This record gives sequence, structure tokens and C-alpha cells, in this order.
Amino acid sequence: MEIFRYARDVYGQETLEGMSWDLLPVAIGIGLVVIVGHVIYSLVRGKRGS
Amino acid sequence: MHGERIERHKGVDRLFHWLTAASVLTLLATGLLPVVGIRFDWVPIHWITGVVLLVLVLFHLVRSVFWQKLRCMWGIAASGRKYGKYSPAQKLMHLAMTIVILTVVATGVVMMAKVDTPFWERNPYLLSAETWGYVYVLHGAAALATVTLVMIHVYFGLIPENRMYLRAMIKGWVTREEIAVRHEWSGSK
Repeated sequence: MEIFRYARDVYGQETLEGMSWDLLPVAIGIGLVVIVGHVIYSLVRGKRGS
Repeated sequence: MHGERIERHKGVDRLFHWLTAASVLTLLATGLLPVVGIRFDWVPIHWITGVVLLVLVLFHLVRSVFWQKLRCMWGIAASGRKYGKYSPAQKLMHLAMTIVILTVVATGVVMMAKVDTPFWERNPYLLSAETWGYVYVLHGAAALATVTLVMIHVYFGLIPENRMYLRAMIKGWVTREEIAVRHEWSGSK
């Protein structure tokens, strides 16, 4: 998995193009981890309270 | 819903919130759908919506400084176990959104130099290739962070225990009883 995207300019030099879009699933995955984590936390807290 | 209603968000602030939400979602869609293979002429929609977001951000900056209480969104919680108008989690979300939205708007404004508009011709030589790379990295990183933050924000906005906040952002009010459970806040701005 790359973090950045690179390209070569007309002189053959490597240039930074931007963030790697391989990270898009990572961004979504982090969001899902937080959401699922909170769901589990809520369920556990609910069970302890009942 | 029983109990005395108190105003939490004025109409102009609710309109600002939902216009900003629509802008951010449009920008994410136009910026990221081509990445996953859905091809369309996304650039004009993207930069025009970006200008809308810039106007909204400037509006919010001016309004929050001159018409609202900045300390509502900064600093630690109120005394004891209750918060002021916003909980620490809400303040943290606002801070995170501030950083990423300002980053994506600022870099987006710079990137406008590479777009032909009715007001100017594109100038890709405004910055060096190396500098453009850093601009794109910041813009892309902020966009990815926005994806994560939007997911988290929408989730916490929809869960049942936060229903009063969602209603307040649509209708503008909460009841004194329900807000008093977690907040020491009398309904001032």
C-alpha cells in the first residue's frame, strides 16, 4: 500500500502527485472502527446497567 | 415532546449547517467517485461547490466571532459532570472539522489557479511542480480525513441518545428537561 502518488515529469524526474487513493478504504475503515466500537461500548454499557 | 422549549440553534445557523453538509457531501462525491471509476465531468461541479463552501466558511467565521460566543466551542467542560452548550466530544468534532475544512478550502483555493473560469485563465506555473505536489497531498489528506469525520458525525447524529441534537439542528429547539441531563446551559447563544 502506498501513501503518496508519484509521477515523472518531462525531464524524467519523480514528482509528488498527491495522496495515494489506496488510503480511501483506510479512511472508511477508521470510521467503521469508531462506529462499531461505539456500538459495542453501548451494548456492554446497556447490559451492565440492566 | 413535553417541557419548556428553549432555542438551541437559530434558523440561520441551521441553514448554514445543512448547506455546509450538502456542500461537503457534493465535494466528496465529485472528488472521490472518479477515483473509484465513476467517470463524469466532475471538475466544474467540484470547484463551484468549493467556492460555495468557501463563502459558507467565511460566513461562519464572521458570525461566530461577532454574533456568537466563541467560548461555547473552546475550553474545558463546565463544572461537575455537566457541560456548557457543547460537550467535549462535540467540541472535538468541531475542532477536527475546522482543521480539515480549512485545509481543504485553502488548498482548493490555490488549486483554482489550475482551472479555467469565467474570471481567469488557468496558470499551472503559479507554483513549482514540487510545491503543487505538497498542495495536492494536503488537499487529499484533508479529503480522506473528511470522509472519516463525516461517517463519525453522521453516526453520532443519528443514534437515539443524541436525538435531541438532531431535532435541534432541524427544528431549532430542545426542551429544558432533556438538555439539563447533560448540559448546564440556559439557552443563550
